[in-house]
Amino acid sequence: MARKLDDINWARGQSARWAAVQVVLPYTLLALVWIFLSDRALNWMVADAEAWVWWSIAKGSLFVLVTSALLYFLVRRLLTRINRLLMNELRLRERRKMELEASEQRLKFALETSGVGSVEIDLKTRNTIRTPLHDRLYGYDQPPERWTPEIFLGHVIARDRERVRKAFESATREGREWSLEFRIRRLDGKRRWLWAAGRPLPGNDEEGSRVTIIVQDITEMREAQEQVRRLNTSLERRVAERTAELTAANQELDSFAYAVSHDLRAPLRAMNGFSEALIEDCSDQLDETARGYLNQIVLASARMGELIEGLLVLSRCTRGQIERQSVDLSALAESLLEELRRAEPERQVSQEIQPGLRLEADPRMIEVLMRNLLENAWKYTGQTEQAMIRIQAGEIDGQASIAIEDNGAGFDPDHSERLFKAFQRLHRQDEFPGTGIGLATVQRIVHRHGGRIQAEGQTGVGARFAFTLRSEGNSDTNRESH
Amino acid sequence: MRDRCLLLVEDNPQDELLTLRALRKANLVNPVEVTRDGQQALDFLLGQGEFADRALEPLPLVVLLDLKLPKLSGVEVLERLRANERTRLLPVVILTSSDESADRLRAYEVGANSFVRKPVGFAEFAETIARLGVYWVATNEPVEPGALRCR
Repeated sequence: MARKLDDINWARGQSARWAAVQVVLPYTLLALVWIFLSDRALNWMVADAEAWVWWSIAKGSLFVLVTSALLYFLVRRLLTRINRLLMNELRLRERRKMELEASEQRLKFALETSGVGSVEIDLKTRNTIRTPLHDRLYGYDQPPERWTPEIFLGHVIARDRERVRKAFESATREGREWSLEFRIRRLDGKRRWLWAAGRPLPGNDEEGSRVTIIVQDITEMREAQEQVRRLNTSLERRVAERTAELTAANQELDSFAYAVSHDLRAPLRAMNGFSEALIEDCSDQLDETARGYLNQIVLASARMGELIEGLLVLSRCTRGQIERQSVDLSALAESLLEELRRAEPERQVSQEIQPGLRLEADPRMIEVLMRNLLENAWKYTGQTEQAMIRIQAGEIDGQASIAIEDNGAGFDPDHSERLFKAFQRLHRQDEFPGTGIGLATVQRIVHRHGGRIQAEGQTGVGARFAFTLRSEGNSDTNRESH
Repeated sequence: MRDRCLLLVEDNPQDELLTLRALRKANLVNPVEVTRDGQQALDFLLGQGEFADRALEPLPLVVLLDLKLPKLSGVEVLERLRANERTRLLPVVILTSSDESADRLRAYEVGANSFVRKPVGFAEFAETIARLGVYWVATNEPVEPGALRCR
């Protein structure tokens, strides 16, 4: 700043010197020419001594008049120029002042409309400049006579006072910016939360060190935050409670399904066993009708056995943690189909398995899933000539999927939503036997892996089941609960 | 060997009847003793309670032990048998409806010699029991009675 002022002075000095030269130089030239020429001209023109004196007086007077006119002209020109310069400077200052004022107005408007009070403290003289809003934040309708750091600290509640004092002092000592939240007691006794931030102002030593501080009432904000925190806490607690309830209900359901499946087996074995024993041990005492009835009991109990078996698998797939590993799906499908082939060597089924299919999944569950889907494909192609089962990679909504496709009996697409419900079947027992639990189990496994399953089919044309398993972890959180 | 019995621990009377029938059909002549809960099985084998005056020797050739039993569960019975010097090497076959891998693991952990699932189908059930009986009575060589005491 000081450097700039010197520059201006220097420039002024130069221009003043030049201005003087501009005045003096024409005068000097004119005077020199006059002194050099006037007397000689007079001598040449006037011979009479008496007349010469008069002419000389006239000549001198003329010189004075001419130089006066010249000086008048030159000085006026100089003054006009100076005047113009001054006017320019003045206008510039006026404009700067207005801009400063506008900037201050803008700042004031911003502070007032956003409810921010402002105070400037001179740390040496302890004088303060405050906005009315600043005083109102502390409960003063009229500006107080004096405002000092002590009065300020007197408003801060006792519990926050030491913290505020230390923060303010260390920030001032180190000359850095600071911001703080603290509670005050206003003049009217009300407690409020305030937020304040300060910054040291530039200045030299004679001016002393000044700090500008802005203050805002954040009571509502703090209360809202507190409210949000409280709501969050209670929400978390409620979620935890619900989760616990749900987990308990799930466990109960699981153990129920488990116990039922186990305890149902014993009486079933008895029904089945004694019917068979009756046929074996007492067949000579039984007629054809009685044996027929007994056979029906045996068939029914065998079917019930299958149902229980299916329920157990389903319940097992609902329980337990999912442990993901990389599974070679192509190899798995290969071996499962090989197993089916061995069980029914008379069937001719061609297969097409895309090599290198891999999945991140729980190996035991993925085996149950694939077994169910492949057994279905195997079963429903039972009446198809040139049966074909195909396993390949695909995509569902941009996610990598696996599709198992067959050209078997298919299903009516109008009823496809019933496909995945337990005990719901789209075929009669005498068409294709089954329990109706397999696809429910498949869907449960897919959901537990965070994936989706789609079924497409056409009666007499074939069926296609495509599923995705979300590859990243923590999908076990959205555990199926219905 | 012919006079040593088999011990069946089974609380379900129908399963008991079917098991006995299957063993009979397998032409096994060894007597089959039956106890109907865990405590009774333990009392029988350790000669205590209602069996206090029973001659302890010889031990059964094999114990067919159900897992779900009143009073003491199959696992608890097995744990106590293994803790007892006299019965710690007694062959025990778990015979159960359960096919839970956790049950299986637990049974082996406490020292089961074999784990057999009761099939629901009768023909399969009869065949399984018969095979079991024949194996443990005729094929398997047990620890000789008295061998333990001589050590």
